[in-house]
Amino acid sequence: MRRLFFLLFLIFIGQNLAADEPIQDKSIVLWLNSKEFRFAEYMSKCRTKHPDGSISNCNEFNNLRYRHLENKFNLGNAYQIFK
Amino acid sequence: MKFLIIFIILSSCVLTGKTKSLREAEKYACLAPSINYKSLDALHATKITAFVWAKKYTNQAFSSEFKIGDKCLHTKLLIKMLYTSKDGDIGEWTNKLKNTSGKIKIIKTYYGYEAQGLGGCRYYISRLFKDDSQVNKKFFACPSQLGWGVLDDSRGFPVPAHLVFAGWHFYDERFFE
Repeated sequence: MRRLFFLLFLIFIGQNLAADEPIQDKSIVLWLNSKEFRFAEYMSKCRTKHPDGSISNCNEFNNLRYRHLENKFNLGNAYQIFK
Repeated sequence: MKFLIIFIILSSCVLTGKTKSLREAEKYACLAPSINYKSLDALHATKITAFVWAKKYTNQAFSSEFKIGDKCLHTKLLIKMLYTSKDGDIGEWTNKLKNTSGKIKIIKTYYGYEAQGLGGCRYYISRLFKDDSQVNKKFFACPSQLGWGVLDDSRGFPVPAHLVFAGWHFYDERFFE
């Protein structure tokens, strides 16, 4: 019984502590080095505070939620200026 | 004893509701919802009922999913298209080594009088090809969470997004039917 518990414990620890394999797939490397990846990471974390105190993400499509902000929307602008 | 063994083996995924495939996709941020559909759908079901989750988790475990490289190619295309493409635009990727490919078409962007709570949302279709099979998935990508009255389940509660990623809340189109 103890041996079985110990074996299961080792398997459980081994699965969680296994070293990461080097990335071999070129598609993953291409993605991780792309502007799209950096932009996605940035947009996942970016938050902006509005004059009314509310907080939203930085997605420019939020402007289309309100009619008075529609004219401030410029498709692709945030992506193009992102470096 | 058997239950204990099964519990230990499954505990890592049961506690999170995430499949190995989804954990790998999260690791590299290759999270386009259409190409991770079965894993995300199983995870989404954890927010509804345990029974539905178990059914969907089993379903995805016995079906083949796209490899992580394909997921990254699809996510790369999706991010660029959602932020830069006009309605009606079509983008595509191809992986000749794996004989897989994918297409995305932005169908419509909601704004103005016809938005009706979907302001800023983009409705798009993903078409995935693997060998001879083809899968189509439609999603609404919204810049913020949809509120009460827009997308309610049968009990009147808002349906949670399938995924929140890269500044978008992704909602499965089937909940809008």
